[in-house]
Amino acid sequence: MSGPIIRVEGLRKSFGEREVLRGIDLEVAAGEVVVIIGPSGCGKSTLLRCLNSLEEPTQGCIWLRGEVLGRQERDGRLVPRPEAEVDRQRTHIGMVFQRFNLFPHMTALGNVIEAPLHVRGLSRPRAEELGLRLLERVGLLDRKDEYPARLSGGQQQRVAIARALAMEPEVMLFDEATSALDPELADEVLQVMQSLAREGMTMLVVTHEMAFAREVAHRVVVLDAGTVLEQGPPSVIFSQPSQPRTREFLRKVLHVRPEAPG
Amino acid sequence: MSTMAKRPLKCWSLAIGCLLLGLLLPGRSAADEPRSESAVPGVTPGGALARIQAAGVLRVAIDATYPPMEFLEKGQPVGFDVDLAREIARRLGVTAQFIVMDWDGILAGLTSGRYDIILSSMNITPARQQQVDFVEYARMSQVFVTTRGRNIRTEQELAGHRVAVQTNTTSQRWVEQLQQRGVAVREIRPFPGATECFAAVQSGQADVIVIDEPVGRFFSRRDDSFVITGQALEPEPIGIAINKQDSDLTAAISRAFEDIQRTGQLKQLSERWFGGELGQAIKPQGFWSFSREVVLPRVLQGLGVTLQLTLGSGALGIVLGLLVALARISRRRGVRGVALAYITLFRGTPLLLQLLFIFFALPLLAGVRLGPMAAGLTALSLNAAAYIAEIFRAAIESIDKGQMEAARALGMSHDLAMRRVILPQTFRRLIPPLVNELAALSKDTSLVMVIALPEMLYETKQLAGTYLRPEVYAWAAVGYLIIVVTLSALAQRLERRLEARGT
Repeated sequence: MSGPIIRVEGLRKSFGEREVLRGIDLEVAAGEVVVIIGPSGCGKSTLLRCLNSLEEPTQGCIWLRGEVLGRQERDGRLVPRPEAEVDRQRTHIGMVFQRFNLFPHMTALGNVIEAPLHVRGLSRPRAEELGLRLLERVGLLDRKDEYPARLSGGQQQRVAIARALAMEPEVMLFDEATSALDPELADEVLQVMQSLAREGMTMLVVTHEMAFAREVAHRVVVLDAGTVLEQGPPSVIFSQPSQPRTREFLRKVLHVRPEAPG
Repeated sequence: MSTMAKRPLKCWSLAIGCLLLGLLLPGRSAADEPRSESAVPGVTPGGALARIQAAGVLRVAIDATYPPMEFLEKGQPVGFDVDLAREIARRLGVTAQFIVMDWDGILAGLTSGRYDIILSSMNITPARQQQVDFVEYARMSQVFVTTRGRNIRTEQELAGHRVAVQTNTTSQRWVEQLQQRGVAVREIRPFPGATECFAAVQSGQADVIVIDEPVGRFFSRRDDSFVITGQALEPEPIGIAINKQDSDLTAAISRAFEDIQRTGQLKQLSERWFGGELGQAIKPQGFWSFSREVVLPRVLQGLGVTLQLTLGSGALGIVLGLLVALARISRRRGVRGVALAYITLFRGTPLLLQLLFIFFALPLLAGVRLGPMAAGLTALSLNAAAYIAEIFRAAIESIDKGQMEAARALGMSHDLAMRRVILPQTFRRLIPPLVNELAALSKDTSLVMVIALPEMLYETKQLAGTYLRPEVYAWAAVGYLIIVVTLSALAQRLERRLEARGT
């Protein structure tokens, strides 16, 4: 494999006086599923938003396949990229939001083919073919003509996943994609995510679903107060976390005491 | 702040510029607007006569609310001054073209070159003589007109009464001077036209009218509830107003007038317009037959103009308002500043002022002379756009931020996301405030009467005055109600259709 698909180095992000990310270093290999956990306010969402240029890093750098996100080198210095360039970079990274953010004035199919039509410039027949295939993949082919208001939360989130996949991204970001859903609805979304992972999609997943992390993740990253507290395979993180703060966090979310180390 | 909410909107500012330019180009004019080619006419000293003769037309301004001097009958200007103007034009070898103006704007229109002369019973006063030259053609007394049963014979007896006068006339100044000399007039009530003065006394809003003698006589003959009970002692000269630099025109008109006097034509005109048969009482006609035969044709004509103004300025206002709203939320401070200044200016000053400024001041300041329709549309659109911009902005900002983020995350540019995702979602919540704004706009169109555009209320006002029948205002009310009710019905249907779609 030719190096990491995403590399984050010394990433810092402040909102005014408040520093949310305090120097994050992270690498993600192609096909890897990385689950990011940590107490609320630790900077998980901000990290994902930086990866998709929804937030501008205050310091540090993010590379996507060796290309610096949001900035470019000129005369040996990093300067902001033109907006159109940033838009192009975003198309390689799909994002799924906690609150779905489907476009309410478009049908399920309309949501999925919007970007292929107007960003990728596909013809309508080709975009619709793609859209129908993706809706089938998330199990919603029969709801293709419904407006979001008439879909359940779980169905909406699955449409949102199909919509992100329609740009054929190299990486998918999931920002608490199931937090707004009842457990049984969350389940259908998690199954779609799991099948994506099986197919080899590179994924960064922020979630509170520890079962999903344990089963699907190749690696778990624990974030705390804007830094990477520790990371490793789920078997290690869940059974033998090295950091007391990780143990404390896991006890809270799992309501059980993890096995004592060694 | 996230990167997406502050995208530049460079194309918008340019588009606004183009639109403004488009608005300023002269459009079709509804009134008797002259179609002279020169940008600011009357600036070539001495060339006026040659220019008029080349055009074949003498442009004459009248305030057509002043029978028997000048008024409208079946929509056509008639009266002593109108005939006199035709005679003068004939002697200059041209035809007279009449431009109906509001009295308050009539001098400004002359100095800004909208017409060549004013022949509208204008008293020659030192103040006016500083602005324009006059050729005197008659002398008039001020008379006191009141309703039967009252008796106001002398200046002293005006004391204790509410006196109706026409704004900015010699009558008004004369009563003011009377007050200064110690006559305790209870109140001076200035009205824009002579006809309103009579309507005011008729409806008990004033006790007595002070007005030029021929006009007083006309109305007292037409309606025998009015009587002339007295008059001021000194008759005052009235004259034809001409721009000072057009001295050749003044000389030619002066010669023409002397000829009209010498050949006895002036006497004929006087007999025709001030003689016994004029202003005979109009045969009283029932409300319905009067409405059908006289009122409705004119009100419908006015309704057409009102509709044209409402729909035209509504459409332009919405387009311009959207552009201003987008500029208002632009990332660039400069663009935002321009939009804010625009909104502040047009919301912060009266529409009436904007209308007068565009019609009267722009020709002098910028050399841009718009006809009444173009000026009316421009002022109404610019004004409406300021309010509509804020409606759009509020609607755009009410859309959940997640929508823009989701669109940008898909790789859409800010403009594309705005066009495809944000704006379509604002439509339904835009409808109620937009309908509100358009309803207000449809009624604001009545203000264009000050720049002599005969919209519905103006037509009604003319009728109410000329025939002294204020009940005709009811028809204008019906007209406006039809516009507003239709508008809200259409909006409701649209809203229901959008609702069915689920947005």
